[in-house]
Amino acid sequence: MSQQLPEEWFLKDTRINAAVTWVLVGALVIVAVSAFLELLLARMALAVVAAFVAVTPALAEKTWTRTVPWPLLLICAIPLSIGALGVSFLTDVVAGLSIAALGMLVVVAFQSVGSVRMTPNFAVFFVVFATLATAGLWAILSAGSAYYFDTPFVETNDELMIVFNAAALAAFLAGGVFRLYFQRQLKANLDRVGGEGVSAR
Amino acid sequence: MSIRTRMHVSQRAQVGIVRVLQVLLVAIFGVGLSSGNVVIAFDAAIGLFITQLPALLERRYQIVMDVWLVIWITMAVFLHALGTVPLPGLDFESLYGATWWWDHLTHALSSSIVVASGYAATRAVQEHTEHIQLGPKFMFAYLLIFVLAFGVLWELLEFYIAVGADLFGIPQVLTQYGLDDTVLDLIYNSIGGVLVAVFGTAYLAGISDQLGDRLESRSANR
Repeated sequence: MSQQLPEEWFLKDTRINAAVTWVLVGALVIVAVSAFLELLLARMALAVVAAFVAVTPALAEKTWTRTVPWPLLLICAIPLSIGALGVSFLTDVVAGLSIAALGMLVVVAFQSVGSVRMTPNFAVFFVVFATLATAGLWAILSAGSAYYFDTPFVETNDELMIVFNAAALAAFLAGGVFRLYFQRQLKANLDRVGGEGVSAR
Repeated sequence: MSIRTRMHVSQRAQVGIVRVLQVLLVAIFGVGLSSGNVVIAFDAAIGLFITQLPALLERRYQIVMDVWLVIWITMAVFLHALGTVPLPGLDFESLYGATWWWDHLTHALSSSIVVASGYAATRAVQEHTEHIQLGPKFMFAYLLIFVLAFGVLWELLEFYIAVGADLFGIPQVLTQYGLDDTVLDLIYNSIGGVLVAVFGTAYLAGISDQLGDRLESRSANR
């Protein structure tokens, strides 16, 4: 896979998709503002990042239709409806998968403004690590918030390890899915152009 | 200007520091064996193996590390091993047990090495292919992600070693002390990572270039 991650894999250019995405972005902005007013900073950060990655390609290329596919954006927004981590293993895994999807869109957003280039394999590696890192950052910030503001946090180390396990499972699951998807896309590209220009290695 | 010219320490003195630390590691290994403490002996043995890695890289791949890098790695390993030994000056308590800061020190130091390795490898790959380009700001964020992710994996490893040790009734070679300790580990890992990301990257260009050359010659041979 020695080529740059093609942004087309994660961006659409149709008016219908763009319309839905922009509506979702509007909703995300409302969520972000209300989260800010309630001082739910993690929630606000998540909504802001999701809204940011959804519209960055459109802003970078100055065409309002160039946005991420709206179902993918919806997947990224799932943790907003889950609320808290550490409640059940399953919701933690789902949240982890969402974060991984968001991580991939962050890569696409940075690529579309031209500040970063990655190969598909490196993007997969990056997304796996970013998902794990989010769990770590969440632990540090929530523990700090619990210490200073008495907000809820897991009670025992074992509970924290359940969250970390969920994050690791989600990270590697998402990484595997992305890799399979990329391999299929590259193979499709190869078949289309007759093996010229791109290599599947 | 490299750190070596600034500090005016001769090559022989630097190699001497590494040798002394290695001898001390052997001594700690001996203490572990003679007192029947598996944890001390095991950690010291792993540590000795890690201190051999720079020499191994040089023999096997002709990658020559700056002696300061070797001292850095050896020191991290040595301080961890030293921390497990009961010391006479501390009423035969270990440094890990007797002080609150030893664990933080070793976590920051070892994670700095993890981040340094991650940076050197990523920079080498970035120089090697035109399709990967992170840029300085994203690289900084990437290194923080790297150290946080590694910290999470490390805590999971410690957790499973504890679970395994519990299941099979063998002594724990790594210990999780509790929720607060895990969170503090992650915080001090990140501090080590930030220090490398801010101050360390300039000193890692040399080793990274050698890694890049290896990648270059490998793909040329293919």
